[in-house]
Amino acid sequence: METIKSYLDNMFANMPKTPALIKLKEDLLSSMEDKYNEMKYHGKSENEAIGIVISEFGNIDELIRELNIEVPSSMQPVLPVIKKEETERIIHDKKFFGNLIALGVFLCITAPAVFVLGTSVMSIQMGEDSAATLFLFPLFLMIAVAVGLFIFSGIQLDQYKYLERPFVLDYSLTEVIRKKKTSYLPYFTLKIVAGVVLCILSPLTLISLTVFVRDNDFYGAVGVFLLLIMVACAVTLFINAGTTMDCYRQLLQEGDYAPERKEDKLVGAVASVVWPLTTAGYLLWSFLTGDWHITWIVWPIMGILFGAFSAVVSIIRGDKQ
Amino acid sequence: MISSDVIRGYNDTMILFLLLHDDSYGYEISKNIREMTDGKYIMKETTLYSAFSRLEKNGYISSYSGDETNGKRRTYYKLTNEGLVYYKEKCLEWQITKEVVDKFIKEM
Repeated sequence: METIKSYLDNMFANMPKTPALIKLKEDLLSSMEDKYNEMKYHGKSENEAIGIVISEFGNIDELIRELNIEVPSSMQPVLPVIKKEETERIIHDKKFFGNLIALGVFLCITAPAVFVLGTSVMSIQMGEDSAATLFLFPLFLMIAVAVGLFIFSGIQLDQYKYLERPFVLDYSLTEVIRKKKTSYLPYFTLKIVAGVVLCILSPLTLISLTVFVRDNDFYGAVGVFLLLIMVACAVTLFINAGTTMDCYRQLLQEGDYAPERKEDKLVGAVASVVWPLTTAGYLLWSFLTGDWHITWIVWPIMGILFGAFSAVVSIIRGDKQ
Repeated sequence: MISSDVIRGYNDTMILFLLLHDDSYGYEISKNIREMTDGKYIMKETTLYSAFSRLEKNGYISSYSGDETNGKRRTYYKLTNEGLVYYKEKCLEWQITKEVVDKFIKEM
């Protein structure tokens, strides 16, 4: 039934939304629905019924001619139609570059982890200062690779900016993508739950190592290392699950991507300011004070604050609907 | 299946015929056409609704919203007096058309 509805939407996509045309579309839908239900009643399969209804729809030009509809070419922009091959490419690229971004974030969070652990291990042999200097190299290397990944993925994903403006999905595709989204939902939930559990458990490693084992710098460093690795895994899971789900939502133009909401990209806008600022703040604080053993706390705190912020935004938006 | 080119001039006649006795709505009319012709002619949706629009513009039929059934309101069509006159004209025209064309049809 959804297929028929989106087929009709597609046919009427570029027509002016006059009351007469809206009425005509409703009548056509009702008529097609009746036919579909009767086919089903007579034992036709879902696909057969849809096939027959669509093949007996006729030619939209016939209606346009008869009703003297001015299909406006300048007044109303003709919406781009997205076809099957393009959709497959979009889904593939969004997932692939989304994973590259996730990898970048993983590197950003594990970079201080490696630094803290490495410095702690080597400082016994070579002194704290030389150890810290030595481990600045992998720290910056990892951040540099991460920034490279961000820029590369960003440029690659820029080609799909047009998805932020309204478009029409080829009628048979809506159903396919909706099915993909539904079958992805359990994985999405699993990844989010796993991420949240990791986040909650992460401080435990630090606490248990410092409290139960011994109050010792080395175990403290191991605790920080494990904590950051767990947070990094969690954030990677969030991004991986989020980009995949977002891609389906964007193609279906749901939620944040609904046509009327497309202008409103508050969370994205805030993120693009907050994270570079956080990075700058982290580096500034660390270099000015040299307190690398504690400055990493910026990351989990900002992560949790940002998560809370986007949750509040989506709740407020949910209320408005 | 009959080609729609041949039958085009008589789509309106079929619809008017089906409105002679009682008001009806889109799907019922298209279903009746299919059943009466044993599936030899299936009127496309766009053809049907173009015809409704044309007939209404010419004052041959009028439309109104029916009672709500299963959560939807169907548009019903009613034959007007002008429509009846037009229908009779078309019947006469077909008689003559048939006579003329028949003269050139040979059993082979």
